[in-house]
Amino acid sequence: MPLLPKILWSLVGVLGALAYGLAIGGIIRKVMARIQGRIGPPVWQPYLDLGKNLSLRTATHHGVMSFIAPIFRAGGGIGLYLLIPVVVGVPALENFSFSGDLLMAMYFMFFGSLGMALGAAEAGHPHSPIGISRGLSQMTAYELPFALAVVALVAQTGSFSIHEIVAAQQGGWLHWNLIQNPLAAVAAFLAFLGMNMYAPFNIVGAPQEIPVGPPTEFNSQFLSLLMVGRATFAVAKMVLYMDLFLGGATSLPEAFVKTFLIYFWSVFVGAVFPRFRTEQAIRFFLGWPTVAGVAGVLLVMLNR
Amino acid sequence: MVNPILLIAVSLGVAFLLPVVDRLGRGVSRTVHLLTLAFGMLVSFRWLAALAAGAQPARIITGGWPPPLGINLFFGPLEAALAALAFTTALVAALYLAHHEQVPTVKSLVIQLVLVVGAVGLIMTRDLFNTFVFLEITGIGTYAILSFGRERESLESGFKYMALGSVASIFILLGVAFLYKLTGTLNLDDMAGRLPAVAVAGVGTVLLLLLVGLMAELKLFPLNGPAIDIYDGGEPGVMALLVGTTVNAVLFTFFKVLSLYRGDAWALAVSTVGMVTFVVANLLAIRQTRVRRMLGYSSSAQLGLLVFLLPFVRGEVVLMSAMALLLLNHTLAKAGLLWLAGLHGGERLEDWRGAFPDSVALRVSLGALILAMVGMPPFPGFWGKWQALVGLARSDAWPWIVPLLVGSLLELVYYFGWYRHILEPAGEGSRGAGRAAFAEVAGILLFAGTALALGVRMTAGIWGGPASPALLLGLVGLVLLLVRAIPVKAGAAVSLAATAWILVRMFLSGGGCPLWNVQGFFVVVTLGGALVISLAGLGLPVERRSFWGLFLILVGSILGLITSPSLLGFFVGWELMTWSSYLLVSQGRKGTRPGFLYMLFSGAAGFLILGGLMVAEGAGVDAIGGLVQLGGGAALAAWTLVAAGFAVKVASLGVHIWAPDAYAESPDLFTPFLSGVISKIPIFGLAVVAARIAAPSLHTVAGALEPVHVLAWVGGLTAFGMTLLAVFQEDAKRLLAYSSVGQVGYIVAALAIMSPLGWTAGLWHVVNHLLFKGLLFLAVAGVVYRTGTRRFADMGGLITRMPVSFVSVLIGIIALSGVPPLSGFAGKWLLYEALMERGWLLLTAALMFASVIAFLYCFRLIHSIFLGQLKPEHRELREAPPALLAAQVLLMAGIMVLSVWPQALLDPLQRLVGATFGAAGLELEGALTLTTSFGYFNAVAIMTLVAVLFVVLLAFLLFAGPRSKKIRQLDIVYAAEVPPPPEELHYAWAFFKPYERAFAPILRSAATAFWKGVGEVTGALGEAGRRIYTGDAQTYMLYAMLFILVLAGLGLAG
Repeated sequence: MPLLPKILWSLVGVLGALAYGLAIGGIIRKVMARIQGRIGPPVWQPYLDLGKNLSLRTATHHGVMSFIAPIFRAGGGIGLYLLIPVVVGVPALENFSFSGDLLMAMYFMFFGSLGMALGAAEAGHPHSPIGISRGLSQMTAYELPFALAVVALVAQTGSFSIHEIVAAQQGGWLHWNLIQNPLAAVAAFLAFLGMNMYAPFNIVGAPQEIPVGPPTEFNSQFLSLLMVGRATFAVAKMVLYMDLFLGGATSLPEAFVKTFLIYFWSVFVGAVFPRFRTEQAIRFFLGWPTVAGVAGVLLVMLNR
Repeated sequence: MVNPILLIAVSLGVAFLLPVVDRLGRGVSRTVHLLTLAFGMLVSFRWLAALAAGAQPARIITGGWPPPLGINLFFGPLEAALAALAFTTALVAALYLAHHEQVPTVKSLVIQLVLVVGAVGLIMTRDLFNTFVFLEITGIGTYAILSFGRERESLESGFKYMALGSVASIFILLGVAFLYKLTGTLNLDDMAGRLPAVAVAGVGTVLLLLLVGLMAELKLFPLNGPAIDIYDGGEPGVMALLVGTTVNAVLFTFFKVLSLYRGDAWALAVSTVGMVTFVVANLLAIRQTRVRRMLGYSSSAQLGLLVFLLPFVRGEVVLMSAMALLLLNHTLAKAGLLWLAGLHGGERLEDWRGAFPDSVALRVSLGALILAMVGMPPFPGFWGKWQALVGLARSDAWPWIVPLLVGSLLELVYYFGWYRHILEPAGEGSRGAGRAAFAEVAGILLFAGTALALGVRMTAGIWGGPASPALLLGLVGLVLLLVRAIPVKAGAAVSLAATAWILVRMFLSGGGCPLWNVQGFFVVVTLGGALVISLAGLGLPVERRSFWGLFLILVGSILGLITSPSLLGFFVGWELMTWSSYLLVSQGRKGTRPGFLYMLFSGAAGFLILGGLMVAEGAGVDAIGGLVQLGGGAALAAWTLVAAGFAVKVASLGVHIWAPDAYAESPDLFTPFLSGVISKIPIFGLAVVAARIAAPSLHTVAGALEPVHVLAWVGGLTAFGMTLLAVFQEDAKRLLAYSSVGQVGYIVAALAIMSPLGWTAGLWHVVNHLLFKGLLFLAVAGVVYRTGTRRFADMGGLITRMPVSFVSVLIGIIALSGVPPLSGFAGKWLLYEALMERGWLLLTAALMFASVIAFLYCFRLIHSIFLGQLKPEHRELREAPPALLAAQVLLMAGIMVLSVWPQALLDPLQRLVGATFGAAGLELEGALTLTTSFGYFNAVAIMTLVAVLFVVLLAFLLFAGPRSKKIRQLDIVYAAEVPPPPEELHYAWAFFKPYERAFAPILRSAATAFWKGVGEVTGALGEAGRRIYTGDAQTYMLYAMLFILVLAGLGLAG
């Protein structure tokens, strides 16, 4: 596909991902409210929030890094989305995934977190670095089972290319990595809980304690951009998991169904389990998820 | 040519006449004395020159009776050299003693001459009884000169010495008498010929008597008690005289008499006694607190080493030149150090704090002589030890190498324990030379200068002549070191010009890009690093004047190490690098203790590597290129030792304890070089030395185990462990120190993959780490320079005061963390692709985990210093000096080039690994996308993507929503309360506390406890052993008896 249409299609894709990501956020709030016996906000509330933030009369910042944080956060989300093929085989939906393989996607996931951390810290509000300390700590911990799962899949497939990983899973759901390497899948899906930062891994923003954590000092268009980043990042992660474990997608509806299921895995868990303290979260990830990940890798080694 | 007998006759004659001449005035007698010694020196040197030119040795028959009836003397090259050394020492000793005698009498002059006569007589005679006579003469001379001191201990030690000497004499006399009875001759050569024919029971006992007597004269373990006591009590200048005359002469006598001892049992006994002396005396010296006593132990140890080698020299296993070099080295260094000890007067080690602040020449001499003493290059002892080791390695005697290296390591411990005090900054109570006369220091300068000149000459020989850049840099460094008039900044400028010039010349010389081979690659890394440091040095002051001189010597030694094709040349450079970097580390404000630890571990690494090289030498390999020929067990042993040495030097997990303090406490200007360049030299060693050795796989129960797999895990665990420890540091430099060690762990793992892609990853990371870690250390150096603190809790919010430094750290941490689009990502990508290609799956995951943990400390670093709340006292802070910033800009430019256009480095690296492996492992698809067998990545596309996103999103922030306004520092959302002062708001202490809690079980450092234990046990052994020397003459006699019984019990009698 020539470059210009590709750019346009990608733009459409990003906007679509944004809309989908915001909607999913609304759905979760609704579900959670119902579980807790409340009516809850409407599903479209995140759209309203975005609009409200953009139409505020004042905006304040703390210096250069206040600009960097939302840019990196949103850039991280959008960039990650652009590096992952949504529907393999449909060039319009493969984005720029030929610019980098799975390793690139993995490292792009850190791009937003690190940028966010940098920008938030400049404000000088103690809640921000406290939240960052927690967030980064948790991130490193879930990264171990996730890395193990990735290593297992890549060794199994013989490639870091997401395209090849998807291609290797074609031919029925029994070929999915979820079934082919259930141990790696267990490790990765437990890690996914940490990535999404819902309960029990939501101490980063701990509402009663450090109000919202890292984004404390952001408002108006800065906050809007953070919302954009969060929504696109969520979608990108789901697409990645779909590609890695659920055989990718051959059409958009299939992609919607699969990603929705993936996302609701963390909603179900979050609705049931209470919050972990940071060190408990770390110990959790370095426990059974890691054991599952190592077992997943050993499985691949034995099968060779 | 003058008849050599005149050496004895003239000295003896003058000795008799001196009391008469003294009537004319002390000046006259002194002059005559000096002239006599000068005459002796001149004659011996002329003979030496003539013999070297091929003249016939002199055989002198005394009294007109031909041997075996008459006494005959022999004067060959060895004799001439020893006599020259004796006369030279005596001459400069006389100059020194003229200023240091408590009771200046003519008797002292007479005795000095008698000592020389005794020594020269011992050296020349070939007659056994005559030997005994000269032994007695030297013995009497020694007691007499020792008792000149007024101190009570001096008298006492002289007496004890005499008591043991008498026992030794009795043994020797008995031995000589019985031997005469058995063989009917006293002539050594004759006797050696007749002895095998004597078949009488008891020959062994007779020989044993003579042997023990001589061993007692040589003061070998356990008979060395009195000898050590006299060092403590005697005047150091006198001891120096004895080292150069009597001691050498007795040793040579021992060598001559050994011709009587045929058979392996005798050789074994002599070697064993020598080696035990070497190891035990060195061990006992560790716990000494008094400098002179320590030097005494050291003399005993050195003599033990020489005695150990004697049978091997006799058996032509070890070259005579090795022996000669070691003996010369010991004489020069020990005599020089003793004179320095006398001049300084400090008794305890602590008294030497910042010694000789007033004299560059003496300080340099002191350092040079200590380095010579421990066998560091370029000094003669190094070459002697190397030759001796090679000789041993090529014979059945190779197991002796182990105790020899262990003893040498112990030697490092106490000499550098002493040097550590000397390197402390001079302060109140530091003693200098004061108004020492030139005559007093002449000997010191002569001996140190001779050792240095010989060393430079030999180094030039091995590194391809004086015109080689390595040697030139070293010599320029030496000039900078010695000439006090050169300003410090000029040193930085010279260093900048020299490194730039060599770099430019390398790239312009034709013959292709220097990066195409491993050597060229590392030379460019070294010089690049040195260039940046020198540039930064124009802005950041150093505390010690000697910084740049040592720095150039260091850079020169690294160049020599890299470019030398031989194992010897490599090791010369390695050891030169070790001590010069040690001296630089010690220049930090609190650098001497970490420097000491650095030296010990580097020394141990050096000996491990030396052991490995000796395995190669033993197999007849002496060029690096020849290492491929090694096979089987030899290959495995050589590889293991060499790799272990390099692993210690990169501070692998478990032996890492030296590194954090050494990095943190080094001068701020030196740390980037330590981290960026010196830590890469073991990597060079792995790539060039270890990688050439084809170590076979081990067969274990779990299947074949490749040695490189073990090494890769060592690297991987180091990366993980050090990264984790870095997270919890509260000090910016310590954090970066742990980080550096961890990063080198990745490189070790990458090289261990031993595939084209693995090497590309490793070498890429070598460059990238140099760039970003240099950048981070320099930026932090600027911050420390301005704020005066390294503690995170004392900083914060500096982004507004030091914006350029902030950008440096920002670029640095992004490149470090591996986050795209900067150069770090390419490194991680290459590494993981290579690891997966090799199939080391768990290691891949472990390294991925480690590199994510690195985010924690990266954030900590930038946040605690530059973000958060600015302290009120920092509101007026200025940006770092321009030259320091210029150096950072240079490094940032390097990172940006590698980020946008990785091919700039990858292309030459492809050629490099292609030449090594015959394949490249990495391909370019469509000009921009890098592909491996596992994945792909297009740096240009990613950079474009990031840039476009950045511009679009920035535009959104600027134009969507209202115009944003910058608010003040304390305008934060604080729940309707007034925020507390910045000090309380800045969240920087114990930043990752929850992380620490989670990892608590594995954080208790077993390594630190272990090495502390090793230190304590060694010290306790030394302490316990020291009790052997009670200072009681009766105990010493008892030892002598027991010693004979033990040797006899071993079956030597009979």
